Amino acid sequence: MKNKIMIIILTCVMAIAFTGCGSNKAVDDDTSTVNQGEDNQTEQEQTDQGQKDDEKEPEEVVVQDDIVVAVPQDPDYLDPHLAAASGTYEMMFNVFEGLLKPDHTGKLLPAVAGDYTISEDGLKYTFVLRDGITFHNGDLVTIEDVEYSYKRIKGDIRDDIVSTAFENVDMAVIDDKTIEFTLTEPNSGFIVNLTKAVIPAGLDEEQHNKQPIGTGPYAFTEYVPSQKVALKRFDGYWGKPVAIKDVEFRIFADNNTALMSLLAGEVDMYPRVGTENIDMLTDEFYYIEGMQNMVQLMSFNNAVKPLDNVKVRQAINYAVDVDMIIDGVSDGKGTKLGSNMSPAMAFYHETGLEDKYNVDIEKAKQLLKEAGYDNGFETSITVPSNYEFHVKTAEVIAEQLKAVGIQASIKSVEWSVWLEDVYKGRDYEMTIIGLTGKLDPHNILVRYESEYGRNYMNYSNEAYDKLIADAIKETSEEKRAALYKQAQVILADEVPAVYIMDPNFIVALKSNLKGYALYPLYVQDLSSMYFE
Amino acid sequence: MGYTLRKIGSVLVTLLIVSIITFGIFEIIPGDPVTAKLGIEADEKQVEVLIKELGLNQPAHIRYKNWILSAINGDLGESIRFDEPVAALINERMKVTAILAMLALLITIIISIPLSIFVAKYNNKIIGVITSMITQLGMALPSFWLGIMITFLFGLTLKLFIPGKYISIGDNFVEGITYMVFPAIAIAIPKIATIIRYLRNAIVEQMSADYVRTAYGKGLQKNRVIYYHVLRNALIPVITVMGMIIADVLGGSLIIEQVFTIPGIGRLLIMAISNRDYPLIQGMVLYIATIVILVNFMIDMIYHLIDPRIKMT
Repeated sequence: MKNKIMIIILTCVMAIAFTGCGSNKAVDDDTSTVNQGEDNQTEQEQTDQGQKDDEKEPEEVVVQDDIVVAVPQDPDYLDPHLAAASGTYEMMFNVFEGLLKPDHTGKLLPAVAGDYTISEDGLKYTFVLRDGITFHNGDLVTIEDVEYSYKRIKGDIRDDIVSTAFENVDMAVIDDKTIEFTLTEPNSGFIVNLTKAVIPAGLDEEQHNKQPIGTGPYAFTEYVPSQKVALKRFDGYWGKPVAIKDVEFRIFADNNTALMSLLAGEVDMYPRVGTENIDMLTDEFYYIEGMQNMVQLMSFNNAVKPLDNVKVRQAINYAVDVDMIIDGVSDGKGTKLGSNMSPAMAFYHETGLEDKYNVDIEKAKQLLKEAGYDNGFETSITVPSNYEFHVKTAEVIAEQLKAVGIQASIKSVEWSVWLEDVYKGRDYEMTIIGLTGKLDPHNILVRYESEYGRNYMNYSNEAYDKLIADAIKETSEEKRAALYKQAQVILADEVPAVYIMDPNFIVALKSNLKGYALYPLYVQDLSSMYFE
Repeated sequence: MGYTLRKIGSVLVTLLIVSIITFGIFEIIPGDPVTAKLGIEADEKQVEVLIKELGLNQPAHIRYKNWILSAINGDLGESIRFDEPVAALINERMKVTAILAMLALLITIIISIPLSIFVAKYNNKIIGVITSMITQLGMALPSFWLGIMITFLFGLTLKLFIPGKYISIGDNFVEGITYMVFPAIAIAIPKIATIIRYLRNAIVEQMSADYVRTAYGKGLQKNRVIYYHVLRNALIPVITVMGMIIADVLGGSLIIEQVFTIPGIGRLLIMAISNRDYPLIQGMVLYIATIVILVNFMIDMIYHLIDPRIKMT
C-alpha cells in the first residue's frame, strides 16, 4: 500500500516536472498601458500580494538614484575615436563630449567649447574653450587636449584611427583658450565632426580603450563583456547637475529576457521595445514613442537587371502598399516616407513625396509592360535575420508583389553575412534595412552619390551628384536645405529604393521614471532623467 | 601504459582535426570580424587598417599556422571583439558554465535514477504507458522553451527569482545557487526523461534474466536483487548514454545561458560566432572539445570499473 502511494506521488512529481506551465496571462488581469506620461489610476486593486491599502499604487513607489537600461549589444570599442557602432554611441553619449554637442532637437550646442564663431566665407571655425571645464579624472581640459583629440581623429597620432572627416582641415592653436580649424573649401557638413569626443592628451594610448575618460555628465566605471557597461555620475560636470547617480547598461542578447526583466522590475528602461510587446506592459510602466530619424527602406541593387530599369523600380513602388506595412508590421506606429529623409529632419525634409506612389496595381502592371516584363519576373529580397522587423516587412512585400506577377523569394541571412555580401559585396537584388539617423543631411543623402564608397545600392545619377556637391559648399542654410529637397525629389522620381517608414522609437519606462528626451539620433541621454 | 599513450595520441589528433574544421568553416562562410565589429558606419580607412592589424590580409593557411603554433605555446591570442586575451575570457566564463552544467547533471542523476528504479520496480501496463508518455514529452521539450516557461512561471508569476538578474556564486553563495537552479532544471528536464527511458527499459529487461531468478531462488529480497544485481548490469547502457548526456548538458548550458542571461561560455560563444571573432571561437571550440573528449575518456574508464568484461582495447 505504502508503495502504491509512493508510485502515485512520484508519477505526479514527474508529470509536474515535465509539463511546462499552461496559459499564463500577465501578472495583473487589468493590464493597461499608460502612454506618454498619463497617470493611470487603478481603482480596483488586482494584486495578489494584497495587504496594502495604498490609495493609488498597488506597490510602493521607490525613488531610486540608480538605473538599469536594457541594451541589445556590447560596445565595439570603449575608445571613442575607434568606436563606430551605433550601439556604442547610444551608451557613451553620456560619457563623452566634443567641442559641440547635439540637444534633443538635433541642434548643436557648445559643450567643451564655451563659444565659437564661423567666418563669413565658411572657411574658418574658431572655438574658445569653456572656462574651468574638467575631465572625469579631475584634470582641467586644456587647449592641447582639444588639439590632441582632433589630431588623433584625423589620423596624426595612430595608424588605426583615420577619418576622412578632417581631410583638408588645418588645425592651429591660437592661444591657451582658442583653437582654429581652417578648411580649404567651404563644407557645411564639417561642423558636425566637432561633436566627436575630446579626451585627455596625457594618457597611455591603450587606456582610452580600457578606462576611457571624457567630460560628459557620466564617468565610465566598468565594462564586463556581454554583461554590462556601468557609469557613475560625474559631480564635477560643467552643465546642469544630473539626478541619477549610477547607470548600468545591461546587455541582453534576447528580447524576451529583456522584456521579462523589465516586467520583473529588474530593468527600469527598455528602449526599442517592440510594438508586439506593448500590451504586455502592466500599469507599473508607461511608454514614450516618436519619430527616430530612421529610414526603413527596400533598397534595389540598381546595377542588376531588371532593377536597373527605372520603370521596373517604379512599378515595384506602385505595387508595394506602404500603409499596409506600417499597419501590419509596426501596428501603425511609423511615419510614411517618400524619400531617404525622415520628417524628423523637419528643416531639410521635402514634404508631399510620401504619397507619390500610393498603391496602384494597374499602373504597376502598365509600367512593367513598358519595361518588357508583362509576366513579371523572379527576384529575391535579402534580409538580416536578426532584425525581425525587416524580415516581417519582407514577407509582406513579397506577398504584395505577387499581384503584379513578381515572385520575390526571401533570403534570410545572418547579420555578418548581410554586411559582407550585401553591404560590402553588393551581391544582392533587393534588401530591407533601416538606416540610422544622422545630424547632418549630407551624411544621410551622400549614400546615393556615385563615387561614395558605401553606396551599396549602386545608384548613379549626375544631377544628384551635382546637388550633393553644391549643397556641401553652400554656406546659407536655407539654400542648402533647398538643394537637399531637390535631391529628395530625384530619389522619389528615380526610386533607387522603396522608402517605407520611419518606425516609431518606443521606449518602455518604469512609471515613476521621468524626463526622457527623444533624440533624432541613436542615443539614450540619461542626464535629464529622474525618479519621482 | 601503451593504452594510455594511444589514448592521448588520439585525443591530440582529434583536437587537431576539430581545430582545422572550425577554422575551415569560418573561412568558407561569409562574414568577417572587421565589418561585424565596426558596423556599417565605419570609416573605410579604419576598416583597412584593422584588417591589416589583425593579419586578415594574409592567406588562410599562414593564419592557421600562426594560430596553432602560438596555441601550442599556450597563447590563444587576443579576442578581436573585446581586445582581451582569449584565455582570460574563457577562464572567467568557464567557471560559470561548469557550475551550471554540474548542477544540471546533479539534478539529472538525483531525480532520474531513483525514479527509473521506481517505475521499473512497479512495472505494469498503466505505469508503463504513463511513463512512456511523460518521458516522450520530456524528451521533446526544447530547453530554451522550458527556460522561457520557467522564467515566466517561477520568475514573473511566483517571483522566486528576478528574470534577467545574475548573482555570482562568489558574491553570495545561497542566492547564486538559487539563480543557477532554475536554468539547471531547464537543462535537466529533457535529460531526466532520456535517462528514465533507457534505465527503466534496461532494468525491466534485466529483471527477467536468469541470474535474477537465481537470486530470488536463493531467497533474496526484491530490493536487494534490484540494487545489488540488476542495477549494476542495467547501468551499463546508461553509462553509454551518460557520455552523450554530459556533452548535451554542456550544449544545453550554452543555449540556456542566453535565456537566463548567465555570463558563461555559451553567451560568449554565440557572440563570438555572430561577430566572427576567430581567435575567440577557435579557443572556445578547442576548450569545449577537450572537455567532451576527456569526459568520454573517463566514461571508458568507468565502464571498465563497472564491468570488467569490457576490455581496454
